[in-house]
Amino acid sequence: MAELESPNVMPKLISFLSSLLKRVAESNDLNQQQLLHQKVSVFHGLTRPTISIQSYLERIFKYANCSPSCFIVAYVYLDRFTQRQPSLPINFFNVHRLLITSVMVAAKFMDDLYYNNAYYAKVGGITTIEMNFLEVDFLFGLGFHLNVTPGTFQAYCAHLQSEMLLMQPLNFADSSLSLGKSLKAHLCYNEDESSSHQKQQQLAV
Amino acid sequence: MEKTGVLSAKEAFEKLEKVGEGTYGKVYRAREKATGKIVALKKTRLHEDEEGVPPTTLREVSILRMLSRDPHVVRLMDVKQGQNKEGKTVLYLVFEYMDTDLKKFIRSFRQSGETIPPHIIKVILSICPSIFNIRFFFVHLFLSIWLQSLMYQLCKGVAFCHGHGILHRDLKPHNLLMDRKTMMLKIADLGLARAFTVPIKKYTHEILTLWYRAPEVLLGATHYSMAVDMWSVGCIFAELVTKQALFPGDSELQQLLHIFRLLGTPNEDVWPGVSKLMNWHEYPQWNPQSLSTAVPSLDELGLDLLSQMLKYEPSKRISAKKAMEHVYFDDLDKRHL
Repeated sequence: MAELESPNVMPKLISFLSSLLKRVAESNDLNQQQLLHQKVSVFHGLTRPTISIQSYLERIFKYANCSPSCFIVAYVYLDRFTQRQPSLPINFFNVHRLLITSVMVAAKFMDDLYYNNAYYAKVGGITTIEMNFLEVDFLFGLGFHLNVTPGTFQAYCAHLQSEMLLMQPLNFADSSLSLGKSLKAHLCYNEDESSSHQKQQQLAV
Repeated sequence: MEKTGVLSAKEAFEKLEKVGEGTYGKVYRAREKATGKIVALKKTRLHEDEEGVPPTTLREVSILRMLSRDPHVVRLMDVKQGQNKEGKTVLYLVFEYMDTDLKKFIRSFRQSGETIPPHIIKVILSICPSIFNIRFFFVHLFLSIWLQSLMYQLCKGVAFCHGHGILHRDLKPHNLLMDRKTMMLKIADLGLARAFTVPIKKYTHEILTLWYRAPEVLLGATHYSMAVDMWSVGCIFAELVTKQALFPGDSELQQLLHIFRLLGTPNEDVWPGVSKLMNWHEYPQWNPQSLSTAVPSLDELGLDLLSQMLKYEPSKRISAKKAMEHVYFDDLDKRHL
């Protein structure tokens, strides 16, 4: 927790998550084969939003005021969602809506103090009615599988950390980022998913 | 988890009677038309304007997805999405049906004195066959076996939740469902539950019905642990014995004073760090009383277990798993539970 809350960690994490999602969206948009089998969902915008993924995620981070852990958990949710909904890959037409919804659901599940859907709708630049539809679809898309064990949380932190170091060794090598360190004080529990999280294919391209 | 375009209760379920009402909607006893199975149908209104899916629903569904396989946690069978008459989105949570809860059960005992219904006698004999060897036995013997059985099931259910990193945070007799015939007890209403294994900013202290609220929560602790549930279990234990709430406060201050009168006013010796808690003030000084003054009919082993559940210092409070191993439960045939 302390690691995630230190001032230089979250901006770097936000920046990295943005570039990761950008690469995923680019890859899926280029993949014509996949486009043929893609479903159009409530997350799919008619046009590609003009705001960049990074600016959008920074905006969410600035206004959501949720626990830093929520961004890791939102990332876990996006991964679960794409695995459960293979016909809805992340692309530039749906990534923004998926992002605002995943962070909102993570905050609602994780935090005792959080903003309501109307507030997140304003932050995300959509209507409250649309936000509510997105939330319900996202929850059913996840099969309401919202709990994240410490093992899973730590695995995703470690994965993000190694990806960050691989991607920008000069920028990140000095930051001694250990996202999972904050969990050392917490008890670890077995759960069905904790044994299988290594097998999960994660969002990184 | 089913997402149907329109699911009117008329189509899938025949509502038999309303059995309760919560913040977000009504609970019905219903019959599933396809199978004829009796279920509890929890209808959750989605506040279209501001809130969306209530966080209590969101947590309850996701946590029960994980915990429902335990026999001492109520089973969530399905979640369906539909629309009400006004065309507003509604979620239907479909639960197994249980015919009573511990609050009603205690109330029925209070009203009928100490008479034990014949079907309970039958169940008790199956749990504790050694009773057959006793030629003449008294009502209190039955009651103690019945009490042990319910408490063991409660500890087992709580241990299962804690083992999966879930705090219930609202354990009280009303949230413990029962099957009158089998005396099976199940933990329900996980709307206030949360995962405690991933770090977050802080927890709210607006949790838990006052009477079952742990002192650390009343004193404003923003991070708390499994021990809050064990305090509630202790309060329920005492209430099962006496048929009266152990600490029936009507405000946070009164609640603390009830606790202090029985257990003594805490200090840094018995509870290191207590004076640093946000709501700590100078309270009247009381000496601890023996628990037997509050729960006179509980035997020595029961009092020992209760005292470990009601320890002031959260880290010293007995865990649910340890409680299951307590000698108080040695007489029980645990294979049936």
